[in-house]
Amino acid sequence: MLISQTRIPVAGAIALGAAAALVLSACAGGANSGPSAGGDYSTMTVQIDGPVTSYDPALGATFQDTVVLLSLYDTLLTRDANGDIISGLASDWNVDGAVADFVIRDGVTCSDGEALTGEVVAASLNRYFDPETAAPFLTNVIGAGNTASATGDGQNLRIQLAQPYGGLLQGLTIAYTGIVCSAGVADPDTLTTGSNGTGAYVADTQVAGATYTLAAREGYEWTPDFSDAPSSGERPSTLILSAVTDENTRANLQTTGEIQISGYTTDAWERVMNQEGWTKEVSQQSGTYLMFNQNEGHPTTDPEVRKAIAQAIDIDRLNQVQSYGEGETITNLGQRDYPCYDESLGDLYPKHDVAAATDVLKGLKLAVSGTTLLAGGDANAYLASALEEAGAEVSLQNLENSQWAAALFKPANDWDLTILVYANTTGSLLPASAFFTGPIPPNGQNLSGVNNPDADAILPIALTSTGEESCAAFSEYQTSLIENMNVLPLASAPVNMVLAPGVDAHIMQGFVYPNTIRYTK
Amino acid sequence: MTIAVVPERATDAFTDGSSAARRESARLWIGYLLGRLAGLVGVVLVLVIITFLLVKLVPGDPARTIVGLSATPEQVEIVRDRLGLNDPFFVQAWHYVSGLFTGDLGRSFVTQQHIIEMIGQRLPLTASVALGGLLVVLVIGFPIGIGIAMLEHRKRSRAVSGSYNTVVGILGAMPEYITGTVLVIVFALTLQWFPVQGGQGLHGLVLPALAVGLAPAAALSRIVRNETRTILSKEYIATARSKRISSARLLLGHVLPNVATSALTMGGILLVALLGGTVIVENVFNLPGLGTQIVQSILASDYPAIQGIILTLGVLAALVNLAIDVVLGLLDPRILMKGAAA
Repeated sequence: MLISQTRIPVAGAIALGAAAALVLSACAGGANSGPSAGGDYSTMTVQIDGPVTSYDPALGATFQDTVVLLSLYDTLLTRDANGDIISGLASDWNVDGAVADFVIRDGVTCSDGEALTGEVVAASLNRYFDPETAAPFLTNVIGAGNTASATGDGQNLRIQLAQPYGGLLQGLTIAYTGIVCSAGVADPDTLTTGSNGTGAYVADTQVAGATYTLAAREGYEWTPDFSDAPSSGERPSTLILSAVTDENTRANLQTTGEIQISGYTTDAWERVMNQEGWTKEVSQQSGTYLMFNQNEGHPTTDPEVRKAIAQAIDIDRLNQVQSYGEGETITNLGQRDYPCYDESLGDLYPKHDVAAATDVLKGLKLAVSGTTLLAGGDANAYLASALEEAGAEVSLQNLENSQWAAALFKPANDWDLTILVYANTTGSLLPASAFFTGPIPPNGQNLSGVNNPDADAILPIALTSTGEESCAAFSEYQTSLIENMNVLPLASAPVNMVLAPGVDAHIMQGFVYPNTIRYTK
Repeated sequence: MTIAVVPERATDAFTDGSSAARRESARLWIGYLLGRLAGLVGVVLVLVIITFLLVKLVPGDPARTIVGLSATPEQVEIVRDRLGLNDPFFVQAWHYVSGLFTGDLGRSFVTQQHIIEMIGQRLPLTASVALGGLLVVLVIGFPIGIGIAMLEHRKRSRAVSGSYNTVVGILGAMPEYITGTVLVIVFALTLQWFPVQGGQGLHGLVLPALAVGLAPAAALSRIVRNETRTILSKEYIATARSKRISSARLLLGHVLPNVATSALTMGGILLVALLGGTVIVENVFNLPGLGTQIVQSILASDYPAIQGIILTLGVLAALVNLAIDVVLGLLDPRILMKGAAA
């Protein structure tokens, strides 16, 4: 064989050697020191769950959007640690039927210097209320099938609803109702990566999907009066919201001091808490609900089968599997600190009784489908195994969350049972009712085809009344749903918020409120 | 000293300086390049068609994913309209293809960022990791392959061969995410020499580059070792040795140049594989490159982002292959004959 030989210059070999030296020399530099007790966190990094949809509050929909929006915008009202509604941009308020009046706090200014008045707030809310804006959480704020408009006069603001809605005040606490100032309302495109609000921070730079850098606003003096917010300490001048999806990576980044505040739904936080001075707060975020497919052709149309399924499950064990035991079992369509939560509904639950369940379920074919959102879908696996223990023949499908959500809203779905993971951040029991009434998908949100005329009759009263009347009606509504086993609330799923030494903040429903973050050196 | 061996008749056109020979050379090159360019155009066309159809297979409804469970069907419809998902199939296809001609890959469904801008922001990091990986492949694969072959040639040591085969076997078999995780545990968490989350300058790129490059480096070192062994058994090496040429000169002057040709070609092919490897490694190191983006985009059914990224990576791979073909043509002109004939 003949060889065509090429000579590479000695310089080439030297270059290769130099490159090797470069790699090796890089190995020697830049030791990372772990967090010491109370560091200088003037630039603070807070973990978020993924890419941010928009800096436009009306279009926000995800957990990570919430944290960004709470940084850039303030809401009229907000929720204290115990779930009570407290003053946000509104210093005073009053609801009378379909009319809600607010007094806007004096001295609040927008990031572009504009003074916040009732007119400015009204313009922002009217855009939010406009069906064409398609704000994802609109029905949580004003109720399903309802419309609303706002008018402003000086520091006064009035919201007029077409029909009264008992969850309005809770609705106005969610980050997506954050008040956008005039320039942003006039040109919402500027809000995709820019901000125009009254929040403690303003948008600076971003690498979309990765890091979102925000700068502290000078003169921000209207932090709500949260009972659990730190009263002293420094405010970070730069906030970096960093998207980290993997919980082990979050723990790695916290142990090496690269992230100061991070949330966990698994037990990955344990490694971080082994370090001195770190603190953890368990904050209940989502709720899980057992949904029985009650559309024709499913074994779960039979109330006896639904009851037997409820008997087959040990909810305490499910809670253990779902959130490492950090969740709380629930018996209402929301969490214990929501107004109108009725503890007595727990009495309606059938006792855990595998033998009784087996009598009904033996040999029955059941299709379980669920999302991998919480603990990789372990609760779905537990549900399947509990049903198998009761003699049912179970097929389990664990789906990635967006796939599961899309399947839920398909007109024809093949699941008999699914665990609905639903995060309603309004702090009201009312919004979840949308999933158990009205037309089935694609024309409505009645995900499991519930047909309960008694419940349907009482629901409008619960939604449109206020105070005790609303609570009594909603208890009656939930009683009807649970007695008929149309749905079975299971447990809340918490976020374990882990904070670096010397760092503190108000945390509500798994979200850190950036305007309250303080650090001590 | 170089032993220049003039090969077959076919290369006379390149060694002969006459104008007829130059014309023949140019004709061969034009034929070769045209063939390769036609191949490139074909690949791009297939990529465009596949990327357009592929996203329809991604499970999940982008509109529902964006607005969440709480939104009413009417709100979902408004978002579907806004995203153009309600347009007829051929209208969507036309928007996609016409957009490509104007350099507009659309906007992300999720973040509304222009896809071109998204790729501009993220590609440099992905390319840095892939090139860093290539550097690792060359810097580790080459010297080790040559060194082992020379050791084996000189001593015929079973111990060397055995340990080498074991180490290379393990390294070559380790998937990137395991290599990456082990590197994080040792160098980022225990020794704290490097950041857990890479990407902050050269220092932050070391672990991701190693994670992506170690397995291919092991593979390359095997090829280099075998090539070197073959070369070391050649007569001209024996001749060179008989002239008492020092080992260093023998290595630099005779072994390295011969190994380089095939190994550099292999390096180019590896670069394409390394681009794929970065998708995994970026997720391990939480790097804001195209790899993390495509995973996020698939999970969110973000069609324009999925299309844009796959198209970009595909075109890049095709360009790298074209570049390899050109380099091969320069190094071994016999290929031109086959290429032009093909």
